[in-house]
Amino acid sequence: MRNNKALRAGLARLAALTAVVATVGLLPWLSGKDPALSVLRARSAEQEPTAEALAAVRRDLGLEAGPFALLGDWAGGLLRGELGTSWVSGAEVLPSVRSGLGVSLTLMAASLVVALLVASAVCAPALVRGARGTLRGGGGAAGAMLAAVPEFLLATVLLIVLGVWAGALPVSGWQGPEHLLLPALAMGVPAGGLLGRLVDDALPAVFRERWTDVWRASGVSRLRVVAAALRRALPALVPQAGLVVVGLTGGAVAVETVFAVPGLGRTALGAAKSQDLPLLQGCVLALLLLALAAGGCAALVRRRLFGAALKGGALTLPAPQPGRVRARVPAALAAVLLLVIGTGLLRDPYTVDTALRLADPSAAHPLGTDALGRDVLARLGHGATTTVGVALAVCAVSFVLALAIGFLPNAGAGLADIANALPPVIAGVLVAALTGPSTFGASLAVALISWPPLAAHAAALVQEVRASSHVMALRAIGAGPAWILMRHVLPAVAGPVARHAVLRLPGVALALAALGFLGLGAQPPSPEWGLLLDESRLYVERAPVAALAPAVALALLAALAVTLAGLRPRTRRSAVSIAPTPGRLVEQPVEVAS
Amino acid sequence: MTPLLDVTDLLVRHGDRTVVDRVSFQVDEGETLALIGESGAGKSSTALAVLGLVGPEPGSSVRFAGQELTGLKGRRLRALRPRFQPVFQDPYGSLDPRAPIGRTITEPLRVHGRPAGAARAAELMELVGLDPAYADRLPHELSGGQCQRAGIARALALDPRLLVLDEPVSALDPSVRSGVVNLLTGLQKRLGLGYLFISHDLDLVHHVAHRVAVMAPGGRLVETAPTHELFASPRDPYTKQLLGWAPSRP
Repeated sequence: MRNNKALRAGLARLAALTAVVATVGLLPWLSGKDPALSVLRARSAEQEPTAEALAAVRRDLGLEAGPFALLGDWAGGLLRGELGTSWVSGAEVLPSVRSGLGVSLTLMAASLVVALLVASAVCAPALVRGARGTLRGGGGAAGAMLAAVPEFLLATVLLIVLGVWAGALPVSGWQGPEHLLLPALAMGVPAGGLLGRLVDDALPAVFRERWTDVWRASGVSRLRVVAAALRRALPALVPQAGLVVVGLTGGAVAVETVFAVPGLGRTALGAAKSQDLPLLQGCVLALLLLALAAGGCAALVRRRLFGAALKGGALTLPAPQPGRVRARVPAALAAVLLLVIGTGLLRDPYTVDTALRLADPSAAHPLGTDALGRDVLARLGHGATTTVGVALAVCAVSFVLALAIGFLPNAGAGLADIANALPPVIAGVLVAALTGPSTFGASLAVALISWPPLAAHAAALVQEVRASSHVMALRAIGAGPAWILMRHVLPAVAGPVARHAVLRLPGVALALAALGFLGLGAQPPSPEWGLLLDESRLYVERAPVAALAPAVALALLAALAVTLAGLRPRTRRSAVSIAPTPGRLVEQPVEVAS
Repeated sequence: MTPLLDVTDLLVRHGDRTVVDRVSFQVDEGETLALIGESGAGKSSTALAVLGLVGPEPGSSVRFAGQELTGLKGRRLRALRPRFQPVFQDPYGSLDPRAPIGRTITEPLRVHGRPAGAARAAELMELVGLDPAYADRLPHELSGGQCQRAGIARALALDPRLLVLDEPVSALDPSVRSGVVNLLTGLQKRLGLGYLFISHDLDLVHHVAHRVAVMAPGGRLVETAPTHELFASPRDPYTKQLLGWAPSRP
């Protein structure tokens, strides 16, 4: 039975992966755009775009042959090691992908080093206290806080503080090792926070196990106790660490863009924005391969660490105990945000006043003005309604998706794996390539990947309710399946899952802001937080407050996301705990009462 | 006379494991047949199969008042369900935690499209010794004993002839246990109900059952006899061991 299950799950994964690769292969057809004109321009500037010339280009690209021929051609090219030619530059795709991959791999390696250092720092206090036998309760909040900082925000702040103001480090380009430091920090710190938090959450349960007391009592050195505790905690976390590496690919897009690093992420973003689909196909394929390789490495490392004990699930880690957060903290954060948004909403975000460009804060403009003389506070307030409004819609969509899939858990398994492993930014890049950058595209992308944790929660609740004896009693009464579903199972599941969806709202808003920042979401002149940050960072030297205001607002939002996720509503009879789910920005584990 | 419940060669499998092994027994009107055995012997699986909640293997027969139940599905089975109702072990788990108990008690009536007003709820609650004022309470606001009474009231709502009682008092505090047991015996006398009473509590069975069937691990019935006869002179070695007559194997 178990083998059958594993086989079916493996098949579902393979099918989902094939579907993603096929989607990538079909991008030119799916987008429904006619690339003939842009290809023609790219090939020769002089040629007139006559109907015959355009038709010739279309024939050349094979776009008229239909989707299957296109997919076949693309797959055939892949087998021969060809990725086609760029629609924009007409250059071979493979060399640009290869050079981008090299840069990105270097950057990722450097940020992994940073991540390991940060993770060690995050879980060091717990290790020390554990070795002394004074570790109580859940993990600290430091790791969770660091993990919640989106890369694009950290990158911008690092650029402003260390690069521009302090002038200590180069802020753009890729000429030498000194160019590696800031991007590696921006990518490594959140990843390290996430890794550190995973270990930090697992340690209290490990140190509660009897053997640690026995070891300490019999005089084993603290260092050896710590080493043994780590050896106990780490193997179970290795798969998640693999997903952290996958998450780095999403971070790479934002960070490479901010620091003008010519890596794979920036190439993919540029390709998506200019609808250069062959180049985008190549980049996404490379990113997918990278993710698969990371997952494979994680599996190998895990097998090596666990050895034979892996078979039959003999070794399990005690359930992690995430730190508790008081309701007061998120309430205070929300109050500050609401105050700023409320005052901003009363002002006009669109009036351009060229006489007052980049003004300092004053009574008339409490947070100053932006490059077009628009009031920053007003743009912040109105931007919140855009971002939060869209985030609400996204949460509602993922709630409905989660309920639907929660009732059919098998159908969603492979999809959930893919959605889990796809960073929001990569999803945003793909959707933007299809629909063009827009608020709708960004929300679609975030909705597509934000349902799996909700669906897992819904599936667990459905299973629990269906197995309960009151549902058994209902069947014995003679209630039909529809009666039981609509009057008992659905109401029992919908409430907790809806609460869970609301708790994820700030995380979703952050993901949307990240896409806005990269130009994949809301378009100017609409006030959106990510877009605000992107627009103002160019003028940071002249109007620092205008740049810092959205940065601080986003940081508050991140803090709200992480503290809300740490909240645990009181449990009534039994609690369903949701395993920490991978994926940046929306990965906080949430425990919700059934 | 046709027995109320007539089970013949009941065979239940979970995957390739046999949990109930060709079991046969009868329950008459007004009679309590106790099914005893160690936990995991297959008693609850028998109950679920009798209730038509798990499907028995082909060749099994469960007849209710002469009507064959195995093989019936969907609407036709649901139409017969009012006549045999369960009471489960977990008093809290067997009630919807979000519904007031008054609504839970009358839900069977609504399912079958019968009148289900507050008066009927009060009548049922009084029948099981619950204060009708509790109708608006949620299960977690009541004691385990009160919840179990609500569960019994729900089982009685459709005027059944047979109750399948799966460890009905073993999750209750000893202080309220006898109250619920006396309620069940009183109801049986007043309404002439047949009980299939599943328990591992030998003293309780001795007290309430007219006849006892002993189930050995693996789901075989080793002995069925009138209660006093079984407790006075068990014949099967397993029954002797269960009753503490023979020393358990080393």
